[in-house]
Amino acid sequence: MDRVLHGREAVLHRTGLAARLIGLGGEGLARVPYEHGDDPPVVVFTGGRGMGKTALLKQLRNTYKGATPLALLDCDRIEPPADHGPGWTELTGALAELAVQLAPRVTGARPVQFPRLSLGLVAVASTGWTRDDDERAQRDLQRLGPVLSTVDATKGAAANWVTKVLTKLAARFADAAAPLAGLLAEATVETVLEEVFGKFQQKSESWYGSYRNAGGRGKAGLQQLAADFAQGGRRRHEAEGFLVGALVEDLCQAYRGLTRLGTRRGRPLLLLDNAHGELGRRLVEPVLRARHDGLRDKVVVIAASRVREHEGLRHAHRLRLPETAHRAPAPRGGDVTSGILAVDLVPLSPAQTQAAFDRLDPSGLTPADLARGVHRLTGGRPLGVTLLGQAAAEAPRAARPHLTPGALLDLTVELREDAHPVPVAPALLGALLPQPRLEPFTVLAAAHDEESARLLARTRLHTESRDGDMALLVRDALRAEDWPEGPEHFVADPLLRALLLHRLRFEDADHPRYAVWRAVHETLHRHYGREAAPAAHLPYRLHHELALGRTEEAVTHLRVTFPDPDVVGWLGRLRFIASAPYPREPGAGGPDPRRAVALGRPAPDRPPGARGADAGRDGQGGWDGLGGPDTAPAAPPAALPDGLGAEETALHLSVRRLLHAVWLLTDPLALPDGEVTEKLAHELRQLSGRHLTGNSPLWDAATHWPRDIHAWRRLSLPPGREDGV
Amino acid sequence: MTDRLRHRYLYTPRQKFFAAVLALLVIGLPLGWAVKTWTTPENRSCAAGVERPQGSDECVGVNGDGFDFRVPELAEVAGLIGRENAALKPDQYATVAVLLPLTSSDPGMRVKVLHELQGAYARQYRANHESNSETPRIRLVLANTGKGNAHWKSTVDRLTAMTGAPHRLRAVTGVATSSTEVRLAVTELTKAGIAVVGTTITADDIANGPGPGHNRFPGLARVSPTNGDEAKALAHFGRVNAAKALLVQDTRTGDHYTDTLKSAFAASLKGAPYEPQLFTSPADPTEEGTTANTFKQITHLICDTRAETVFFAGRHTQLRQFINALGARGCVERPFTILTGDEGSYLGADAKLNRKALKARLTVRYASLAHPDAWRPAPGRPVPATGGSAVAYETFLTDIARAAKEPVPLADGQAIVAYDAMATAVHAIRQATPDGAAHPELADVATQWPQVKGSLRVQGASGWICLDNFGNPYNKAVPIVELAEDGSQRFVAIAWPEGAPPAASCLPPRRG
Repeated sequence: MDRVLHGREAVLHRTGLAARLIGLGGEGLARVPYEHGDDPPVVVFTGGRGMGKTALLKQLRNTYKGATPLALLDCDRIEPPADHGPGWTELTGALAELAVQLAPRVTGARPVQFPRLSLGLVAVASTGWTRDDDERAQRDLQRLGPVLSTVDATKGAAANWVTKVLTKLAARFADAAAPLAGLLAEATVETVLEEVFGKFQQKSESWYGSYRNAGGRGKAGLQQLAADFAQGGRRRHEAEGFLVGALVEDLCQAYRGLTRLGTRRGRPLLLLDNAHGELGRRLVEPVLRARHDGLRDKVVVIAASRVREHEGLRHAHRLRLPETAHRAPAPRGGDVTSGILAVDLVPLSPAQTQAAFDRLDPSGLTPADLARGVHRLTGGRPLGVTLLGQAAAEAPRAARPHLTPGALLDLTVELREDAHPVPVAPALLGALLPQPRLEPFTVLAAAHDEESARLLARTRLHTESRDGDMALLVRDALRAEDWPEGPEHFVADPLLRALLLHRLRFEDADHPRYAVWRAVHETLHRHYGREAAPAAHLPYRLHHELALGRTEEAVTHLRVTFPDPDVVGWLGRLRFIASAPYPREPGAGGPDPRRAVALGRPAPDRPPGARGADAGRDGQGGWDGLGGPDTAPAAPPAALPDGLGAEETALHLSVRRLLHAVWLLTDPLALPDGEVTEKLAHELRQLSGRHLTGNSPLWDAATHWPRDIHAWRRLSLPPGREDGV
Repeated sequence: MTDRLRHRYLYTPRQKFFAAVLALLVIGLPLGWAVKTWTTPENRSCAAGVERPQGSDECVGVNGDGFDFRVPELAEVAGLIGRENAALKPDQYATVAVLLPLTSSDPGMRVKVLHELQGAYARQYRANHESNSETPRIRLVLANTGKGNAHWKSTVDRLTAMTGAPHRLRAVTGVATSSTEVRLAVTELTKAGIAVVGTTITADDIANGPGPGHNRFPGLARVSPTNGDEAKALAHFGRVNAAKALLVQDTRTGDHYTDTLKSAFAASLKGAPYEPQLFTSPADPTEEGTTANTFKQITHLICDTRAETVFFAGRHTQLRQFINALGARGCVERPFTILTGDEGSYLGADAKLNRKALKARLTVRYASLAHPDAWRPAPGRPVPATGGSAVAYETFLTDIARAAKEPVPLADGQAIVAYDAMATAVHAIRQATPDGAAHPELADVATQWPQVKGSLRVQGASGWICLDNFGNPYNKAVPIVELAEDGSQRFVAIAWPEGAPPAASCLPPRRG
């Protein structure tokens, strides 16, 4: 269970953010000075799926478990009890859950008691009871047993108080024809006070005297609370907010008083996962408001939000994770939400990725560049890094030296010790995009923009598009999860796109036909190649040709347009066309076929099973096995276009080698190769010599592109631009 | 492991606090105890006013609370005295101290000390209960000078500091041996103006006398006759026929006892036909030395004379050697009587004495300080009309019976003398108390002695105590006793230093 979280030291370090908030150093639980005095901010970790929010919260829980009262609640996973009455809401369920988690004794201190919260929950639960439904009342009361157990373990658990309450209620029902919610609540609370609470806890009732219209009388406050809760709407929210306050007050009481002096170290910890939802907001907001009004509750609330630009975080102090390592100032401003410190979780750095890989797979058999390649693919997303690293570690020893990021996706990984290994790509995709239907996402992953996406949706997803524009639905779904958007691809995140395309190609397992993949790409290919298509669409068309495994048309186009004066545009087209997904074979071992083409060598022998079904369909299969796995290597070579002069033939071959080199080197699923990189520079220099006017950009590209590849950057355009765009 | 313990038991501030307190207790208490033991001086206190001096295990000091000075024999009488003292009301008593080597290891001295204390207590009881409620009441305290009186200084210092309230020490009695330490102690005490009543001191150097430079102990009174008086009494007793008397004397000078005897005997043996037989005792007269040989020779010479009475002027070791030698004399058929000073009283307990010598027609007579039979009429031995009284002795017998459960052996006379010394002290204290005052001034007590005479004499159990102007008893009865074969003393007769019992007025004549 003791995981090592890479790149999260800013939070977990001995004097990290968590230690400075809680006051306890992570490992030795040494005393750490509080950074924010008596007014710690609510810390919200933001980051998309797979950014390690949950892992971070769990790590915090494991670190501080037993040292200070803490609770970890996943706001997305509040299970409603069977047949609950109107007295149960997600929030009351969450509060009960939090109280039960916070209660157990920690080192040196007695368990935390929650008398106020118990009373509030009992009062609220009573709102749903009716005269005829004894069973529901009983169920509701028994459900509150764990919370009441925090007040008095034996009496709360004994549950004979339930009977007493029911008896009393029966009498009350008999008295009045239609008892109001408030009166019922009062009767229930009275019985609970008598039966469960000790002498010293009786006064906790009076805390409710500060409730609206209570006028200092605790019973009246509880009545009003129950009535408000039953009323619903804004009133209910008010009542729920007060219940959150009761939880905080009970928690604070555990830190006050002479008898508890010096029995606790640090501060209590509330960990709220997926707090961007409605429940999370309703839990955090009362705390924030109370703090804004001057309450100094000293509860450390650490939440995780998947949505970075959440409306609740508009006035929050924003910091990136590494910035919080030593200081995380969050001065309280005029706005309520200024009590929030939003910390963006950053992806892992290449070095951290390497460290994770070294730790997961100490054998050192995998290629040296693998971790770096995985970092390029995943963008440092911790979940991707961890899962792929695990896959690498669990790969057969013989296969390890030839692993590429793409090969890792084909492997299986053992997520749980008590379950069969699962394939990496679907597992990762499921974690990053937990949608009930992945089909639309899969198909649209091949699209470049909304237009092409809409086209694909129209043609390929017409069965799914009944409830509106599928492209926009998918776009919004991705936006809602904070996935980035980009100009060249409908799904901009490289990892997500790679996973979706992986699914697109292999989901149906119809090797070697790849019907869906082929259909999708053909659709787009056709779309960009139609009569009326503007010239600018040609690269898109060629991009999809590559995806379909056909390269000659692209080579021809690049050869033909090579003499054009716009060399930078030519390079851009080259780069875009070569960014096409490579039509991989499942479990393809051995060197990448593009390598041979790029180096101008004959293709190595390949197993017959790897031959594409449509081998040589377009008659464009290269003499040296070019065209990728979809092209039969046994096809006759020298499939050069007719009517080329020697000069043009040389240029054609050179461009072909260049295209394959760029395709291979920029493929996030492959690992770049020093020889190919040299060849790339060589070809570019050669081409630079051939060009009449634009030799300078080509020469620059020959200089800078290998550097970009070494630096694992996108190829810069114009070559040498620092931002790599 | 240590980490786990630390997290379990030293986690919160409260746990740390209690752990610190516990650690402080665990470490601090033994440490504090050790430091205290090392740094504080040893508690050498035995009881109130009594402590062990450095380098000694004896309890030295002054105490009247019933402390027995760790001498088991004294426990009973010390308890009685303590009880008696406890019954006294503050401000109504004057204190009398009994200055004795209470912790002496010498068996003879132990017995002596016990008897003296019993005698003193007997008189205290009488003073407080059976003297017509006269005031002040008498509080008796025990003052220990230690073995051999080695620690007299500290005890005397303590005593001199007790003259004020609440003790109001007015007299010291019990001064029992004639040694340098005792003389120094008496000097100190009298210098402090405290009245001292000597009990069994007989040496003339712890006495005042006529002439300038002889009044060294102002305020000292004695109830025992001086050596000189004893010798005179012996001489009077032995004045049978100077022609048939012989003097055996020690040539070593400087021993006051011997010197006094020598001069007294010499004075009474004027006209004796034989010159004194001489021997020379070792520097320490308790050592055996070579004198036994000398005595053997002297025995031969004695047989050659016609002497019947031998005056022996020497210490008791030599006396014993002489008796042993004389017991083995050649002229067994001739009876001899040896007359000597009170050193003869030591013979009874001397294991080296050849008792058979006493069978060989040898009688050893010596002057005793007191004897129980002295003032008890017996058939054929009437009590003298003056110089003492049978009534006073009967009173003493009544009192001494209270001092112990067992009958107090009186034969050694110590109890009687101590009783009389106490009586003298009480007498002086009460005489010095002016009318209306609760207790006398210190200086007034010490100046009472010249008035203890005539009708103001003390009716002692050992005889009248009429003091002359130097505090010495005038014409005090000297019981002459005879050493019996079993070591006991047999009363022979009362001798008088002046040759005859004093007149009924008992007023010393003018001297010098």
